[in-house]
Amino acid sequence: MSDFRDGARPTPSDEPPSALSDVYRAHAGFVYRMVRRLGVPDAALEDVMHEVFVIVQRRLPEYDGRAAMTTWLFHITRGVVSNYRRGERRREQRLALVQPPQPRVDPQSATERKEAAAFVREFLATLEPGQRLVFELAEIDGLPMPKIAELADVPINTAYSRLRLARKRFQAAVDALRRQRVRGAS
Amino acid sequence: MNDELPELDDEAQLLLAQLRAEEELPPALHAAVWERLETTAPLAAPPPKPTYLWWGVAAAAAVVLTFVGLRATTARDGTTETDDSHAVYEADGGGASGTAQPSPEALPVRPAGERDTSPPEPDEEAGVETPSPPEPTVDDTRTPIPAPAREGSEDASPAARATAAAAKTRPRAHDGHTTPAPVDDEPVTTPETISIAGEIALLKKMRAALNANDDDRVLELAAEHAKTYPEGTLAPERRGLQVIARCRSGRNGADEAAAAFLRTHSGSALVDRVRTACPNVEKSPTP
Repeated sequence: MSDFRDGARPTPSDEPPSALSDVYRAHAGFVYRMVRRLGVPDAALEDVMHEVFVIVQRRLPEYDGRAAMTTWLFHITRGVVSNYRRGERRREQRLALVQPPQPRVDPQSATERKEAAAFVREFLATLEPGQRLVFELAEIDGLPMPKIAELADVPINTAYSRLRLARKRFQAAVDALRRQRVRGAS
Repeated sequence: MNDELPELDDEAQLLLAQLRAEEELPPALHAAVWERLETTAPLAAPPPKPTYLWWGVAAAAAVVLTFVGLRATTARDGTTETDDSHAVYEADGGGASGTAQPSPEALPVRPAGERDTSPPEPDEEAGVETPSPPEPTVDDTRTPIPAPAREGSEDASPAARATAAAAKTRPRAHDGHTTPAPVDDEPVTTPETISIAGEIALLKKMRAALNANDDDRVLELAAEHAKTYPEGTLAPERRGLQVIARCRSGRNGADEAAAAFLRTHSGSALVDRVRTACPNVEKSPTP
């Protein structure tokens, strides 16, 4: 995956867009992943994404292209999700409801892809937030390191350091999984 | 700094690839959000042209009515004063000597000389007799939203197929090795059994060939994958790698294939890499 991090080479998607449709076409997937990753449940994904792009539509004339579009979107998305969470907390307090347990992946019925995704997500949950953000942006979203450092609001050396540690831990987790499979097979 | 980073092995990279495939924006959600955006009130704001037309009509009406009012007043009073219509609203109008300037209270019933209607105050008249133009808003200055995103037919199908494929149970089967077929995403046959292990092995080879700049080999392997696992879990990944190889090797139709990939897999993590490999890819008019 080293070709994901090929420096700060600007991509066409970083150019200032002229219309919401351009932004949506190029970055809806990125926003979707961010929204999911920030913990918005599936049932609310559509609402939160819609809210993000309504704000994008309103503020697009102010976007001057000085920051990368992904950076700009990242901050908007984080703000919208933060508002969503506040609203959810208030609602939960009012209703005094206990959060239902998340459905667990059934290894018997889930597809292998889902199992693999679940394994990676479980690993991600073990990382501390700063490390996790860098790892996700690098290995899943494929953003270049300078942009990741900007999004994480850390010096680039810190971003590299976090990625290095997270990679080591991920590789160790995969090695452990492999050993477990071998033991299970034998 | 980059060189010091430990490399992930193939299995770790494939696990991440499977997570990326899992996290791809579902076409149905992509379409649903855009549909809502289109129907959101600010997006439905009227285009600027009619707004300006209304303002133009209102201004013209004001000018005409001012002229008519002045003529009527002049005819009634026998004077050439041009600011008569304004004088009637002067606060001290009632204290005037009386023949030419009526008091404000008398305005509604003031006789209009040879005319039946009293001369209206121009600004007020413009507001009454012409349709009030919508207030220009910030939204009016925005670039209008282009044609509706009609992606259901073309966008949804391949990704939906991938999603459907992901929902299938995949019994383990052979690691299919077949003779290279023409580079085409269209399946030749649909195998009854799909093996994720076989897919992983093929994708691993594709990635290795891509890293070795062996684009021909990438395309061979992509064709093999398309033939053996037409609806495979990793089909989106295969398409992305295939498009990159086609662009890099300058194949005919590479830009069109890249545009199609960007349309159908706009949420893929390979999007940036495809755009980098295919700088001439044309943007489609709708998301």
